[in-house]
Amino acid sequence: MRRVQRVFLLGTLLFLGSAAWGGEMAPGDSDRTIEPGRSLERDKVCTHCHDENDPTPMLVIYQTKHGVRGDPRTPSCQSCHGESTDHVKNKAGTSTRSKPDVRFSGTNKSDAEAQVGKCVQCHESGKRMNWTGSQHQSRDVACSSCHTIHAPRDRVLTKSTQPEVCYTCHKTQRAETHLISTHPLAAGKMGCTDCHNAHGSTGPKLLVKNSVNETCYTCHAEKRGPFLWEHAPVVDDCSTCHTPHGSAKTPLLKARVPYLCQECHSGDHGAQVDSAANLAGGNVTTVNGINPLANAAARAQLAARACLNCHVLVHGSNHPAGAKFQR
Amino acid sequence: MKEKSEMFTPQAMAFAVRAAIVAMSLVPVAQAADSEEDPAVTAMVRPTSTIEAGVGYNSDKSYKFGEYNGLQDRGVTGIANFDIRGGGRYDNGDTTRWSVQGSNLGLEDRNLQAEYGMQGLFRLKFEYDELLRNRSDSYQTPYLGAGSNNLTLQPDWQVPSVQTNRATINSPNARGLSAAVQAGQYLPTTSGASVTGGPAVVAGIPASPGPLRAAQAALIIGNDLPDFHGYDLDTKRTRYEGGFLVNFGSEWDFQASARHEDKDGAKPMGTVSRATGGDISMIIADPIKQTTDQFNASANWTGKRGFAQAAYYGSVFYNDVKSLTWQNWAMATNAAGNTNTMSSAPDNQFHQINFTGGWSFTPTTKLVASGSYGRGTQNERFLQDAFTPYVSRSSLEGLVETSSVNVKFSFRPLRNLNSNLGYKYDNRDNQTPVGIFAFYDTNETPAAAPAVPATNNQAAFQAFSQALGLSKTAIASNGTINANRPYSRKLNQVTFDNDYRVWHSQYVKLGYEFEQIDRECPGSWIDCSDAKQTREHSGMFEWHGNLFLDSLNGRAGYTYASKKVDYNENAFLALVPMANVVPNIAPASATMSAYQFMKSMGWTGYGPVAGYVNTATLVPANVNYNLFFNNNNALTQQLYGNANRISELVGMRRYNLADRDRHKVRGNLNWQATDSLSFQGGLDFNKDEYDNSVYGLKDAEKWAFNFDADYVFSEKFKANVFYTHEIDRQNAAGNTYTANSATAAQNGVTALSSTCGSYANLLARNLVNKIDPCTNWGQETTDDIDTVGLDVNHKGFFGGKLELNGNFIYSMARTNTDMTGGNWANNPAAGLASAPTRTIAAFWIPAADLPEVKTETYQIALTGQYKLDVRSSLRGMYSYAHMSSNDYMYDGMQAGGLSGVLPSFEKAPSYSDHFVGLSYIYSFNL
Repeated sequence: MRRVQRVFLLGTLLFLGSAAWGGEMAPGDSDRTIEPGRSLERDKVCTHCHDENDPTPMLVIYQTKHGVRGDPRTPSCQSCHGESTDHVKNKAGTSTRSKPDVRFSGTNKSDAEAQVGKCVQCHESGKRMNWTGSQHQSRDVACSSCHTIHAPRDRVLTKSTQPEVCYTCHKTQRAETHLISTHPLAAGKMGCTDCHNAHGSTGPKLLVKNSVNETCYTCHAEKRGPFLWEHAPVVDDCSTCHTPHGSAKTPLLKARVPYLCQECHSGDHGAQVDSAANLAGGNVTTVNGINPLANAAARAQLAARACLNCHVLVHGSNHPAGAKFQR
Repeated sequence: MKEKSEMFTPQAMAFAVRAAIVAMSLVPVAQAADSEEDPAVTAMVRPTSTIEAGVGYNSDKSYKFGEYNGLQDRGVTGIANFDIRGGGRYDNGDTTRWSVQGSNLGLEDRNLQAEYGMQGLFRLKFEYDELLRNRSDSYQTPYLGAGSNNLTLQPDWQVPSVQTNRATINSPNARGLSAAVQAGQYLPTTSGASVTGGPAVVAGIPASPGPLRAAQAALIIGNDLPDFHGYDLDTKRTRYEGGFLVNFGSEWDFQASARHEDKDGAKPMGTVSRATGGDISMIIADPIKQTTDQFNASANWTGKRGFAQAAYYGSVFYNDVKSLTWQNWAMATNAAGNTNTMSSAPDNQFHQINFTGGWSFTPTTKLVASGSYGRGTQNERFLQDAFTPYVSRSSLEGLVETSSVNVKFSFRPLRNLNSNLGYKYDNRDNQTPVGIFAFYDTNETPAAAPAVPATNNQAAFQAFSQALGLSKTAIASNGTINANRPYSRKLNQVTFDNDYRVWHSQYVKLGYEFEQIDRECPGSWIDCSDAKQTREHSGMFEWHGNLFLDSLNGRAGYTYASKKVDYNENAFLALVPMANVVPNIAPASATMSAYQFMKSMGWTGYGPVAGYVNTATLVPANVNYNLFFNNNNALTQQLYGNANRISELVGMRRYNLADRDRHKVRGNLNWQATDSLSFQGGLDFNKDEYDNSVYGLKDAEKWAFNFDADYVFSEKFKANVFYTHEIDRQNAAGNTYTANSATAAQNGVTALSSTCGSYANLLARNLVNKIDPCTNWGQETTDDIDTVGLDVNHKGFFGGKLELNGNFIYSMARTNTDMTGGNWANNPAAGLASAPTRTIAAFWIPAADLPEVKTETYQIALTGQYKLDVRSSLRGMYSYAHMSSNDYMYDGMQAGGLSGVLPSFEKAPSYSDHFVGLSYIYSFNL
């Protein structure tokens, strides 16, 4: 009981402390006080200078979903960049104006929290529900780190160009997609968001589903089962054996077979050592190099599909005689 | 941006655009006359569409190059893409937008998308997509019906064989399909005239086959090899997807979508059958004809301080191929029992409901919670035949319930401190009933079942049969009696992360995570999981911020995690329910079950870690000891109803459930050296240590080093170069142990080669076969991967009319497998007269490092787009792609490769492919 009381007390203190500091509104804090409908009158304050000759194509915003005039939800420039009074009026009369209140690019861009705060005024639900506390949020990734708002086509929203955006940070994954065994990312037939929700999720590694397996089953439903004979690591986590982005070991394996299997199986013929001595012409097949006999072959575990030459249905079997995944 | 007073220079187009912008604000519906509109203005106020058409030429046929891109065939191919957009003008209040897009229409990976909507009211979407997956175009098979689920051999199929000694030629051996192998030597075991028509042979001296054998070999090769024919292995996914979104005011919306996907084709798959001397295999073209339907629906509410969602997800999988049947290539085609059948992936369904809600108590205090419940079902009827003598029910009646809860509380207890407290619960509750199933491995012929058992195995199986309520001879002594293990898994996880801003641009982060996973098989007679519970604590520290300069920032972090497990070395017993039955063996019957005896002795199924003891003569007599662990060997296989020894080595730990210490180091640096030059470098390091694993994976580490440089030569010219180096190393251990025995000689020979241990003779080694240190082995595999890339883009040629892109990727992956230890190999020439090594009973063969596996890939792609006028342009493209790969695994797929696996003639992927294309692009505004 005392334990419960302590937890309750701690929770109360945390909440009160949070509320106390929460009274101080940070630039990015959500207030949802955008004006109903985008006001072009308000935009004119900005487009007066930021016109078609601007090095940054600001006016392109009108070709995007953020510029649809008839949608009452459409924001104005100020909805995202703030009123930026100093920038607009330049009261100091300096040749270089002060920056807008909220800046999404350049060397003086606002911090991620301030940037994101503007976006979540409207975009907090749906796929962004789990943004707060997510890996990207906690690593200061802002919406504009991936999204290009002032462009008719946002590269991250197109499957074929999306991975390039993600590779800006995820460089090891970029390299892995060029290995001999990959998902069709480089071919543009799959996007990172087919598996990941960059805005946060309830699954590990920002996966779109609650678990690794649930995510994999969205494309590989034949492996979902349940099966009569289940393979324990398979139902546990596909990534026990597979690595998703690319591997030098087909199909997307973390280790070569038979060694991958032998990392868990040491009974019966799983106990055997598989070395170059067991290849055709190796010292075992020739009995220490003395008898090169025609009938002596390499170990089957060192050729073709190794253990999977026979134990085929490693993802599960539904045959009464399939306990060893052979039927 | 420019300063208005100083820089603005009026231009005709600028005025026009400005007029359009002004019109947006002043005129409710501004419809300028198309004919009078400046194209630049049109582009600003109306959606731009493009159509691209052209031809390409692919220089070579390569399945691997075209694995996913559809360019697998040599020759001319069409280039066709379009992106047509319409709807309301951007300068009026019409919110209608629509688009129709198509890409790669000339290839088998084409995609079509259409969207129509009125923003803020509704949106409709449709997509059609093809995804080709080429697997092999070098595959060959002798079977008729490749691609179907019934594979038969030609009636005159000759079972391949190789001469193994003077008299024996009839053992099935797939190496017999190679003329070179057939001409190779065999080892006569006795001296005298060759029965196969050759000259007289001398025992122990390898000899060449005689003319009779040569004639038989020629018959096999001449008859069977022509039966092999190529069959391209590929699968294709065809997907149809549609959905809609409806907005109900600014706070509510409803979305739904449905997705139908067909997957057709064939993929390579091993199959196993029984032959004289053991199992044989072959790679078949596994027919794929599957459908997956998925449904999503959600109702969403977004308020000023919170949001909520109720959602449904459904997935229905249907397999049109219910089973697969083939003839055994190692048996005569008309022999009884040569037809084998295996199951395919069963139809199954999964339905899930999800609820998520979030509430902001204050701008910095937020709670998000979600929960889900799902049901996965599968009730495919079991395939039964003469090799499944006992099946406890006719279908699976499979049910898996999944449930999850996620709660995340974000708050700011101090001005500069952001904290997140999270809890996650994820449960896979497998409620599939446990049942008992008896079968003979891979269609093995059931052993004769005598009324009066002559062996312990026969007696045990009669007892087991009766325990199942069957006649005592229902399950023969070479059968296996197993129970299914429906695995359940329950995860509880707590996380607590804190991000503190120490001062301007300097942050530190501290995190802690606790994860507990409980595993079980409801209904199993004994704990089925190798680890009933795993508990892992993780701690993380990270710094990020600027380093000395505003232009230089970085991140560095370290994570340590410790996982502790109560490992259960007896988990395998859940598979063998007869280990809990007392085998009634007359006259010296066991007094307890195998499990009870193991437990009483404190052993696992591996038995005592000890050498030979004549358990039959133990004093005081212990019948159980002798029956179950005779000579101190592992649990006698068939006395617990299993045809193979499935216990693991004592000290073996399956790595996903083993005690583990994990170290992670992450770091990166970003330096904006000048306005136009920037560098990024990163290092990832992971190390897993399994210190309590004697066998299995001992440790694994992975390094990844990344370097990028970007240079902007000018507004129109930029380049990027990158390099990634990865090292992935795994270190594992095993032991090639065999059974203790008191065998003193092989063919009368007692001496051993003396390269390991100090055994006086064969007997001395045999007495400790189970614990012989010479049979320990180690394996260390290292992947060494280098990737280099260069990307160049120039938009400024010919006054901006020509844009050029150049891209180069190089990847080299090397895998080295280093081995230690070795194993014993009996000398087939032991004791044979005249054999040069006749005095050696067995050799110790040191393990040898495997050949390096190397895959090299590079691709150069050049694209140029020349603008002919405002509306049209020409696009030219050229690419050269190359892959070369060697892998010793493919050697066994050729004729003369493996004795037990029929050759499939598959080759390691390699290609050198040029592609050139030219297309015309026209853009317009609807």
